[in-house]
Amino acid sequence: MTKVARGLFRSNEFIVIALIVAIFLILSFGSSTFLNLTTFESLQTSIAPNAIIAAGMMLLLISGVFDLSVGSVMGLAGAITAILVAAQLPVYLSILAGLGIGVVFGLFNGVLVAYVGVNPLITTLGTMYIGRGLINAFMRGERRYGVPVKVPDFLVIGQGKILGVYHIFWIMLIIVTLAQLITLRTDAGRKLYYIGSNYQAARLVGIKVKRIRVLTFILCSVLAAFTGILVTSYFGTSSIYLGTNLELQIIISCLIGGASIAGGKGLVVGSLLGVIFMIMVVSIFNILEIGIYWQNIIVGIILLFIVSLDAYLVGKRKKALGEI
Amino acid sequence: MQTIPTRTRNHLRLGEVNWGAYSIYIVNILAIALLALTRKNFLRYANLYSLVFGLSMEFLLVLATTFLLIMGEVDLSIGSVFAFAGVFTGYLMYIPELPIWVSIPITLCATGLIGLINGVLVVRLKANSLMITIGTMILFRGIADGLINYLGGITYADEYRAIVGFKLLGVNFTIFLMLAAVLVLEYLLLNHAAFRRLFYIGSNTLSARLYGVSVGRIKLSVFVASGVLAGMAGILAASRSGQTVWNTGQGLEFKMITAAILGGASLFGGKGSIVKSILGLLLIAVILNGLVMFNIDPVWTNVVVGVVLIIAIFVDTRINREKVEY
Amino acid sequence: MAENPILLLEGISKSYGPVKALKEVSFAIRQGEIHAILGENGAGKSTLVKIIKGETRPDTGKLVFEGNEIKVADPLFANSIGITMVHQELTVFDELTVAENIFPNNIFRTKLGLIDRRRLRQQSEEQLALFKLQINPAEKVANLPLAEQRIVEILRAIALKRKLIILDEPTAGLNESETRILISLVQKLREEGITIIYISHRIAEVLEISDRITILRDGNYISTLPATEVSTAELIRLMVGREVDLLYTKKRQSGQTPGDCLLELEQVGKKGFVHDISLKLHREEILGVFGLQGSGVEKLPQILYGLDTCDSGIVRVKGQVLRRRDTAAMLKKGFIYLNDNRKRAGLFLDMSTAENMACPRLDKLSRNSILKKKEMFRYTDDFIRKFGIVIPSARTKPKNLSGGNQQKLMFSVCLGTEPECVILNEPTRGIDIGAKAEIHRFILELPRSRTSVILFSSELPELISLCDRVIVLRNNAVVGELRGDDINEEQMMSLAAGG
Repeated sequence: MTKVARGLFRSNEFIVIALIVAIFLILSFGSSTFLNLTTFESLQTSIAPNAIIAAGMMLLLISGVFDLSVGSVMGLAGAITAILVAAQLPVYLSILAGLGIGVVFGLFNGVLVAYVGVNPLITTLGTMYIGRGLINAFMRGERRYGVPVKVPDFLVIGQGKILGVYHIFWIMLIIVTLAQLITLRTDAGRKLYYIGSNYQAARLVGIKVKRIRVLTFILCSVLAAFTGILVTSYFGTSSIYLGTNLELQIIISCLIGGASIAGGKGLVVGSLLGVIFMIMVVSIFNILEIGIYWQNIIVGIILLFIVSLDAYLVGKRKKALGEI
Repeated sequence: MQTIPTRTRNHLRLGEVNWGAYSIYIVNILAIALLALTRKNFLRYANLYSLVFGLSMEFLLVLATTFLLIMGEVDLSIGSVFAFAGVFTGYLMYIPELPIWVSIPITLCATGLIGLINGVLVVRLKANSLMITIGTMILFRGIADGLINYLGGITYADEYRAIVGFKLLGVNFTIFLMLAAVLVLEYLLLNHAAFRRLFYIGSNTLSARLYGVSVGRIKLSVFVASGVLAGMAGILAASRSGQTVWNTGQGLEFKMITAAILGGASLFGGKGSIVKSILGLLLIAVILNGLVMFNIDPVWTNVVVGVVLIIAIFVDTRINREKVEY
Repeated sequence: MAENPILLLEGISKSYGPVKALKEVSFAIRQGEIHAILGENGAGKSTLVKIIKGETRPDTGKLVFEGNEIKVADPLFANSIGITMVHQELTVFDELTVAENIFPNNIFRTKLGLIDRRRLRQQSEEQLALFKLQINPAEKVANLPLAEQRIVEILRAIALKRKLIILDEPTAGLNESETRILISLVQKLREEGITIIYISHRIAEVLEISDRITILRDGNYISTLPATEVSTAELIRLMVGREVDLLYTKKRQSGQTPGDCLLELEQVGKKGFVHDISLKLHREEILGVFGLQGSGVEKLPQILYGLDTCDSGIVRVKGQVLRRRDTAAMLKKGFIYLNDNRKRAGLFLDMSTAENMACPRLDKLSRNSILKKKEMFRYTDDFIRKFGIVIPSARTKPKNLSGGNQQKLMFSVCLGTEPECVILNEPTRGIDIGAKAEIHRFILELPRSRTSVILFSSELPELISLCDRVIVLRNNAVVGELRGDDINEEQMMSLAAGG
């Protein structure tokens, strides 16, 4: 039993939880404004969107790749859906269109990475770029300041609550739980770990790696699109800036949550923990009234630190094996 | 014992000639011809000059990118360093009011230092340069934007703005610099021992180490050079525009990688040519110029570059991928 | 064991361009036997195996598996009908557990369709017990030693109910006791009715384990013989087509007085890898180093050449202690290293042969740092001739050469630096008898040109025939030094294994 306990305490997830609790306590006692600003209300809306996208990203990271276009997909889906709803198209059709964006991007990324074999980082950077450009293209002229949506059927999605909790938060909980269970206990979910651990071997034992790869990309993009629609609905307007620089924050969250760039590791719940951690960090920024430029700087430093740590650990293992 | 030749990847061979090696020349000629024939404004001196001048502002960046790609590394922070250098020099001349011949060296030292940070992290930790330089990219984007905000949109000092205007025989010196640099560096890449080592490092880093190539030191130097080159380019660009706006230089790194890969370099290392990288940059410039000529809204620029990037990477992977699969 | 064939090869031919890799090869593999395939590099072994496992299609002829002709050339298809290969390079899922590696397609489900972990563990324990193995099914595979990882791979092939398993050099890199375990595992596989194709260069091992042996030579099928009816000498003769000096005879004339000391290690240690290593290398001598896996014999060559540092002790290069001893420094002092894995490090597969040769001598082949290409090519051609490398031109890339020629090329790259000492790490691993003999000849020539040799090898006959002295490692330390007639199998093994 103690061996299990020891393993638990050393696990990445536990450390993150401990850190979150620590920061939370420090902030609560150290700052009077913290408890006021950080109501459950605001936490929901800051955690939920990121957590949904992070869950999708986590699936990709487990299988050994990642997707830098999620921010653009989020923004584009939100923009398109808002434009369509504002143009009197039925709500459900507009949402389908927005999700369709996710499918298209996911399919494109997935096919390029899985079937052609292009480097996932560069590919998804390219699609991020294209996506960002498309957002700018669609949100031209008077749309530049946002496309307000007044259709109540649409707004209720993002702004509605059940039992006092926003829809998006419930949706997030469901998605994270489902994803965690699937990756822990189902055939399809475990396959992601096989693929991430050793792609070639997975292929040889009959796992349909390419197909799974494409499906995972599609899933991640659709989740990003879905989140974009939800957030747009919450704000009641689309924004040209929605989703900018989000992808790196998400990846950092996942890495903190236990994923490795090399793949094969990490739990979906870890991504949720990572998101909460990052939210805590941003809270610190807000309390200390740190400007956005400093925030970028600190995020850059955190990313550098995490990637360096990841690389260092991988290097240490290689050295232990005696490799030069 | 017979040798058993493996099937070589000859996607682009037709007859005896490896057409793939010349594709960048061919595509450039085709693109230029297309534009020249369909848009009479293309061949006007002012347009062509502006095209080449624009190239001469950015070529320093593609030099850095090419050298790193040959070794199998990338530096995604060059866009941010580019912006940082421009605004930092302006800042130095404005607040502490340092003279230009002090400000510029200080800036270049700073950018060299940034390159050093990248290099140390990549070499020491054996980390992926893609991820590390994304971190420095964000970091220095933040610093640059902060400085821009702080300066509040001032126009730079006259001497600063005059740099880029320096002309010889009526032509900006940067164009001469570009021509000279390209020829000299290409020659060196093909014949100079130190530059050949870049190829060994990119082809098989471990083997290079075995045979006495100081991989760490060379990588470090090239990262530092990348920082300095990005700094120089940034200063020139800021000199030209007179001020630095928010988001300057964003996306430059991908444009450079695209250009280099169009010119035959590979993300997998071991390949690259300065002349062809410049031609890759030219092709992108011609395409973007074409967009303008055909009156297409500038918002599509990003999309076009993204598409060209993906096509370039696609071809690179098809040709150069070994057994690596994702 | 039934006589009926499980796999029939009929008239298999395959050419790569003008080179005929296989010429009308026909023979049968019987169900339930261990069938070895022997042949030099270039004999067609690897091509034949590629065809059987579905990686490539034969030009003519057909493969008949269990009575059905195989029409599709696809490894996935081959896997699905029951043919699989366990490669030299592992294909384990190192972040996952042993159990998950043995049963990778999640076949144990609960009624809800979720994965049944308990049954997964139980079944793994059963499999492991069946083969009397002491591996913990919940252990992450990355934490297992190489031999156990390979065993896990073989167990996976069994769990996936493969009928024909191709083993490619399964004992490469294993020590004696691990080899024993693997061999008994393979024999047990036969008891389970699985057919094995066994590829190995270790003739003694092949004779011990196989039922029948097929010999290929220059793409031709030579013969299939029962292992009990053939001797080592005869096998070699069939493989090579000529009488070859058995590598057991001692070739090195010892007895010269040692010259001055080129390299000296004094109580050198590196935590976790070696400790208290002391040795001396003199001029014009061939010093062998032998040790089983885990004795420190993997890390020592890296430390000697400066690829890795030591935590304690002193290293003196020609009497001096170097402040910063890295590969560049060692090269300057006249040392060079031949790596044991040429694909991973040692050659630049994508650059021309001439560029490969030039790498360690870039400065000497340049004037004012500008490379003199003519000289580079002349220098390369000299070595191609000297070492008899079969190659169309100096522009050819090493990836297009056979294994033996690649090894000879790597040798040339190293010797081109005119070293005073070469550190050889498994210089003849995985290459055919002919090339092996040639390289042995080159090694013996070296002291005559005032070059010393440190030879790391796991092949006892090689050490016996070539070395003046042999140092034996065990448990990360030196346990003995042998000279002259003491250099024999029994002494070396007993020191290495601990008596």
